Amino acid sequence: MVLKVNPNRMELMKLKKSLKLAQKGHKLLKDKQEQLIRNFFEIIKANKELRKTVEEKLIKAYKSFLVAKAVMGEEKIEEAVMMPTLTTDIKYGKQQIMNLKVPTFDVVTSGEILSFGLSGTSVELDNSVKIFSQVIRDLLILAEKEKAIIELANEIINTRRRVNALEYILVPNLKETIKYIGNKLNEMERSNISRLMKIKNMVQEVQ
Amino acid sequence: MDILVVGQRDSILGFKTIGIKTLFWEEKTVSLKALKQNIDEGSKIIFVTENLFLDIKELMSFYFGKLYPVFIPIPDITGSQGLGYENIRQLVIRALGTDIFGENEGGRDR
Repeated sequence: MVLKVNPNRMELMKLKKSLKLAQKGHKLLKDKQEQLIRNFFEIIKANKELRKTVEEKLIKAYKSFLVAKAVMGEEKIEEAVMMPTLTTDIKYGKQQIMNLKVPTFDVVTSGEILSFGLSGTSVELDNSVKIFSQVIRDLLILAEKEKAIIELANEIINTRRRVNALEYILVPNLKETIKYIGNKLNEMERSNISRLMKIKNMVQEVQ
Repeated sequence: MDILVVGQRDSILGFKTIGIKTLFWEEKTVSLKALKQNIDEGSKIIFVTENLFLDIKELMSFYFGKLYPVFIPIPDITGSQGLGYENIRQLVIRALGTDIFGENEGGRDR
């Protein structure tokens, strides 16, 4: 599609400049897209392994808790977990992947791990608590990775849209317009020459 | 408390022992409301058991594109159904336009 511009030299120069810029931008964005995809692959691969191990650990933790519940009975366990003194919180950080700032999570635990008395609770529960406090660390790493994947995926989609817009719309439009203006200017030049020739003839005839 | 674990009581009671906020899933509309309230109160990282993941899909799409909250599927006590994996796979398909997890790893490039 030819852009709506006045066909003159000034516009031509302007358009040529912006074409150059668009092509440069396109190349840069294309490079960025490639690098993003490369990073994306790396993270996905790591995440695949991580998820598998974390899920296994988590199921182990569930099982240990189930055993504790079986040993102690529903009510006792309810009582034991009612008021945990251990608090688990997150420390946020930032990690940079290309131009993206991805949050990182770190576990901060405070308080006594075993918040319940020694009597009345079983060894299994103690074990379970320990396993859970390890698992939460892994779970947060998993969350961090998956968040990074989501952000990266969005960025890739955006970048691709931009690359495509430049490649298939802006650059062809600019090229076509430049060609159109060139043609128009040439045409004007030609018509000017022929007019001059005609006038010259007329003047000569009069003399 | 920024971490929240959502799931059936039997599955996630253990998280309570280490002082993590838990939301026991009971009835869909009630629990969804509670979950939303928790998010409004500042829960940022939300682990959801896989069997509930479909139920909260609508809520998740509401927060799509925002930095927080992050929803992460975790297996419940009956084991993993591979939903977390599937979730990532969908994302990959959307981002790259191709299913690299398909049969062979690495697949063909876009």
